[in-house]
Amino acid sequence: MTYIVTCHTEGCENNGIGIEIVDPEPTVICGPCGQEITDKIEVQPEPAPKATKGK
Amino acid sequence: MAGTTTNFGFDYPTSTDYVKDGATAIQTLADDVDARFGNVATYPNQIVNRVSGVSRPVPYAQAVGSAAPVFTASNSASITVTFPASRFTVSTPIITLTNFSASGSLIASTYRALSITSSSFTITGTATTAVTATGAVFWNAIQMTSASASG
Repeated sequence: MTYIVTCHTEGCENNGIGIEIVDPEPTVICGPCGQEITDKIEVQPEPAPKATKGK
Repeated sequence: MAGTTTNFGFDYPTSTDYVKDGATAIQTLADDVDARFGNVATYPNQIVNRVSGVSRPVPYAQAVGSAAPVFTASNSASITVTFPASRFTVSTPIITLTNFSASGSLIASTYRALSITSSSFTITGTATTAVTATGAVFWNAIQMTSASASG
């Protein structure tokens, strides 16, 4: 699954920037500041287009 | 301008051009060289490869950091670490890990980096028995250019 994780540590260079990662472990650490990231949002896959009925 | 050089396409005048246009011709040539060798985003390792005569990767971007404490009593625990945003755009970086205990001594071969992408990597324990690591894992990520990205 793909997630958008966002660090909210004041002064961190990744502060407020959503980073897309795939299949993360339960614990995600922000590399630049070393703090744990708790803001993790799962990206929902695009729904498949509906099939159209032929006449 | 009557022609361009074979390798880089730098403009040059011919012997029949007017002398009064010489300064302009030299400026054009200088601008060509400046634009080409200043364009490290497109041609990051062109000077190295041109001088050496072969195409080889060179370090292009780097990031370092630490995660501490990482694990407390497990040899199977894993964590994901994010890179600085938009740092690695050319290729997936190479990771080296150094693990120090809380007292500052080096712990050898306890963890390794897996699932490395351009945005994150995973640190996983490699010990066969449970380990206690209350120190820190320092990581160093280096992105190399591809061998063919020499320009």
